[in-house]
Amino acid sequence: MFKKKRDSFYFPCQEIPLKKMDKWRYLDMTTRHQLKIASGRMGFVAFWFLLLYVVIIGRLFYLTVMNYEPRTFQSEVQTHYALNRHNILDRNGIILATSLPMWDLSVNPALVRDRTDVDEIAEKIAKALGMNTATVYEKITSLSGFEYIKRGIIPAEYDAINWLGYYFLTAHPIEKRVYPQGPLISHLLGGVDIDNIGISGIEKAYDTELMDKDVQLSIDISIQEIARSALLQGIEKFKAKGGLALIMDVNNGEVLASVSLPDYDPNVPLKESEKARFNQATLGTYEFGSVFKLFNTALGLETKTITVNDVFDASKPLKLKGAKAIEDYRGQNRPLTVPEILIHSSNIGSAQIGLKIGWENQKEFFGRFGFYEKLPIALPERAQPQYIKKEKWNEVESSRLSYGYGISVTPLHLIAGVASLANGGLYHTPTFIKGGNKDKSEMRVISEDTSQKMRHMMWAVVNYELAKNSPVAMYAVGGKTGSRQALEKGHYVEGSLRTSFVGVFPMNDPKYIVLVSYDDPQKVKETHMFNTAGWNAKATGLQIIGDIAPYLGVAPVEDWKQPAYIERAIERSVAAKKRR
Amino acid sequence: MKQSSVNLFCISMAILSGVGMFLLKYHVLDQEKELVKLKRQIVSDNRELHLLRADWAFLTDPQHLRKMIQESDLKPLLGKQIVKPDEIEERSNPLLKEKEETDV
Repeated sequence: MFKKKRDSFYFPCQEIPLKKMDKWRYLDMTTRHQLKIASGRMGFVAFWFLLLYVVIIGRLFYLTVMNYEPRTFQSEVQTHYALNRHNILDRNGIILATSLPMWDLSVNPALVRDRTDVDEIAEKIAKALGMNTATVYEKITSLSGFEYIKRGIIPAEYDAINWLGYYFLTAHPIEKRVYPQGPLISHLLGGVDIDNIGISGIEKAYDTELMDKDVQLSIDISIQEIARSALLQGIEKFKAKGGLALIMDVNNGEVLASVSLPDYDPNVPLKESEKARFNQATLGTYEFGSVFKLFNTALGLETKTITVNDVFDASKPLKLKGAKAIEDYRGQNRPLTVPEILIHSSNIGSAQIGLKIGWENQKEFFGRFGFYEKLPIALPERAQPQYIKKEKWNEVESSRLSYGYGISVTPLHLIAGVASLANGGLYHTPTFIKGGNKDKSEMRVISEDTSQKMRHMMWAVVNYELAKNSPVAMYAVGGKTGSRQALEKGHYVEGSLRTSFVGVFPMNDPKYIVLVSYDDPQKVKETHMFNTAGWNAKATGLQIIGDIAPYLGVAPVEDWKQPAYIERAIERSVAAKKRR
Repeated sequence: MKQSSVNLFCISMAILSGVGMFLLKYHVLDQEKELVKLKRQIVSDNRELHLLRADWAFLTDPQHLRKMIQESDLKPLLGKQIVKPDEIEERSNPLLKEKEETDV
């Protein structure tokens, strides 16, 4: 039994296996020598190949492991369209200010001026840009080496210029700030310079933030438009020089509308006068007159110097040593209860309350509402309130301060103060940013009880004599009017008034505050030749409330029971009116 | 036989892996090019959207809308037009009424 041994063959015809030791036995010496040489050479080549492989592997190891750098993928590009300067939005995300891609078109006049077809070139460029041919001709034949033909050309103009194919024109891509709402919210937004750097308003206040992200304001553009439209109508109707309107949420200090008229189109800001560019809402300081009687009454109640049932004699002018007698405008000439003093806006009654309270208390109380300092708001346009030096306060000044003379504050100071009288006694610094007061603590300025009494009295001021079919009767509006001689360059102007109305609604659960103020409204037929606040500012204020209440989802107030002292004050007033 | 089969399998797998890697790499590169193209398209679309949003803000300027409303003789909502659900008069269902009549 022969078992064939299998082995690999070295050479052809080696099927017959040989013992390993006998491999070379049958080869002659020459062949054996040649094989040895071949084997040696093969070994030599194999060695170098092996070495080469070792080097390559070593290098690969070095590059891929030792020197590993993650690959930067081309696909890691951003997918959002990045603006250099971001948008300003209203509280509902509507664009108030944005940047649009545009171009600055320049020319190198050195390449044009010696050409024979300069006239034709100027005409073609002027046609593409909608410019005057002479102006373009002047620019392209200028002696300088660089000249802007037009800054901020729009895509259609850019395409038209591209079609011309002139090599001496250069379009520099830029971003141009535009304000789609036009003059609607011009003062608050402010503006930017030619390099897109904020120079006023929100644009300046949030210059850094706008480089990274959108800024969302607390303003509601629809409410802003309602307020502006009503104020424009009022200015025309009452022939006023200007006016302002502010609307704020009383529970968080967020300003929903801020209108100052006259205003301007921020897309062409330099066309307007300085007066038009003045933001009365934050930069103007005014004596608001009788509106301050609210603070006087609240202070009296808070210090328990007076009660709502106290009666003050307003039957004759109040004479103080060294001062003009204090009189009432269309006086009642009878004793008045505290609510009646507010209803009839009695200077005599308020002065007596002020004297009872004392100026030391007044000084401290006004300080709670920030009436001595600039408001801590981000806007650069902030004004310092003006008031009589505190060390000069005496009986006379104290009586004047009680009905709003001798202290000028900004409209924003005023609504923040009145809002805290009505909202339960908590002061919120006004803010123009949505959620701007979210992390800020509120400050108690009066007690809940005083605030409750103030709400009822403010309601009586507006609703006494308010027609039952008035569109705002259902919203339980409360407020106060004030008319004061207008101040111009530090002097009172004879016959010129600043009339104001501040209204809060709904008074059973205050939500919003509205301030309307006119600069020098005239006596007109429609107002029976009166020009005090009750005839103009109050009318506009109530019109605005009637328009915005359904939009803001404020439910009509069905039955808000008034306390006995209010019922009594109204009864007394009605009876007194009948007697006259 | 067994060893050579294993060798053959290993060599085949190595070749297949190599070819697979080669194809995969170029497929990924193609995909990446496509991705870059799409992302650039997205940027361009976002730019268009930005311009359209700005345009929309111009077109829906409340002052412009007020003019349109006045031209169309529309009026803003008044507070007295808002009523509670229980104040709405209950209206009979015409289908039910028809059914009742048929039953009779």
